[in-house]
Amino acid sequence: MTEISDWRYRIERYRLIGVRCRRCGSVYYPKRSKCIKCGSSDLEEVELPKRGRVVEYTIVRLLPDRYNRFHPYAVALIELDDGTRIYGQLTDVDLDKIHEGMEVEATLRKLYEYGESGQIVYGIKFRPVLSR
Amino acid sequence: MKPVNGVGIYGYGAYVPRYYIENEAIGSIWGRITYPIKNKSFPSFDEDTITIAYEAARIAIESSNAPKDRIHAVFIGTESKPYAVKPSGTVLVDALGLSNKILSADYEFACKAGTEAMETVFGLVASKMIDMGIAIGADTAQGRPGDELEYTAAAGGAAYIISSVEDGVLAVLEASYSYVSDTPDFWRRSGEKYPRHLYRFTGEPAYFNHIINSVNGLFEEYGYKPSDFKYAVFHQPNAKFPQRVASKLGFTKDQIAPGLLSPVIGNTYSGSSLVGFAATLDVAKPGDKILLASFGSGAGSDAFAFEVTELIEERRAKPPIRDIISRMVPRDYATYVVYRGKIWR
Ligand SMILES: [Zn+2]
Repeated sequence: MTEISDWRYRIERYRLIGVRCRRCGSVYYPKRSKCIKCGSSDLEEVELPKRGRVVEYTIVRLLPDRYNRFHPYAVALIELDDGTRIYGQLTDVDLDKIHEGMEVEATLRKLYEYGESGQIVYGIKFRPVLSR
Repeated sequence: MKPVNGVGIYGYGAYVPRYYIENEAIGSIWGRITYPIKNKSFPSFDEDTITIAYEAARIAIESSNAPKDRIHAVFIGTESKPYAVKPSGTVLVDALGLSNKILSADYEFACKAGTEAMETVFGLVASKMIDMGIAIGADTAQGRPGDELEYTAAAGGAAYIISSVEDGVLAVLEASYSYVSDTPDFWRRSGEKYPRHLYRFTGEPAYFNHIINSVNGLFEEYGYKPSDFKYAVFHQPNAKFPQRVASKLGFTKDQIAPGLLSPVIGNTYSGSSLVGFAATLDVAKPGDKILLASFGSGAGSDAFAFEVTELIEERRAKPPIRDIISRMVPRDYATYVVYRGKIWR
């Protein structure tokens, strides 16, 4: 990623915008131009549901410099309320207390920054629901 | 100040981070045994004023089902801007999916920047220049390690969607009154990381003088008295000041109880009186009048009189701020220092 692509992808990163295949209904996040399931290129943008459950997760510890202050963190496979499965970073969790089925919701957080004087890049992360 | 066209609050939301540190845990490092509050909130390493403002605004929009395409202003009052130069509200415009046809700016007036933003949006809506706007007070305040302010400088924020009365509001703005003078009780010079303060000025000439003048001004100009209000909310730099100013002005403990959060979250600066106001709206009933009085160092105070309407029942913030507070977890001084970026890996 560079500052230019950070800017280009900001809307999908801020709002969890993916694509749905018009032919078979498969949903993808991040966006892609061709459906993996049926090969169709007829995809439409969709804003995905902001709540879901943790299916499985892993802890990420080794990252580039721009993540200096932002790791270790957990990345989870999350099943959203509409059944779509996406990978998302978890926040506001104790790394030893994450569990399968944990109810999470999307929020906006800092993803990384280009050093102390560089840009701060924001995006969606998932945290335990504030209330159901 | 009284708007010619009726305006009020369409929706609101408030947020505090997940983490708190006990004053006792800070005091044990610096050898202190009496404390201004019990706990203060602090942000996670991936939070800042922009993300806190986002959390509060998202709750406000979702809880009130506000029409996003009619929101044409987003102003953030803060003293902890993530960038010295680059507006904070632009991130919210794109992240919340608001219209790009919108006004946006950051406001600074120490702890009263949030109510200052609110007053501006009231004016824009009342003059019918815009349909709706969002005013936010949010901060991730810092105190120098070992300084008096380290015990209270906290993080949190609240967002208020403002519309005309015709669009349906949960609280009508009846009147407001602002009082400002050049009083150097607290400041942070450009480029400095931590603020400084003149301890002697903090109480009487600054906090008490300005709040008492704004509230008395509101009362005299518009004929209010303390018993007209079901609730009152004051800026909360610690636990003592809001209680003392309430009693000096003739308000009871019961009137300020719902909005008094500083003992458990600390001073959320631009968020402080606005988070307290949200906690009060969380329990208010139709017909209740609420007094809101902010204070910002430097110094000034904005006082507002609101009357709650029937719409409060369907538009209350979900979740209420006290539920958000109840999920908070304690952390030690070492974690606090790392999360706040006081030391680096
Ligand atoms: Zn397909």
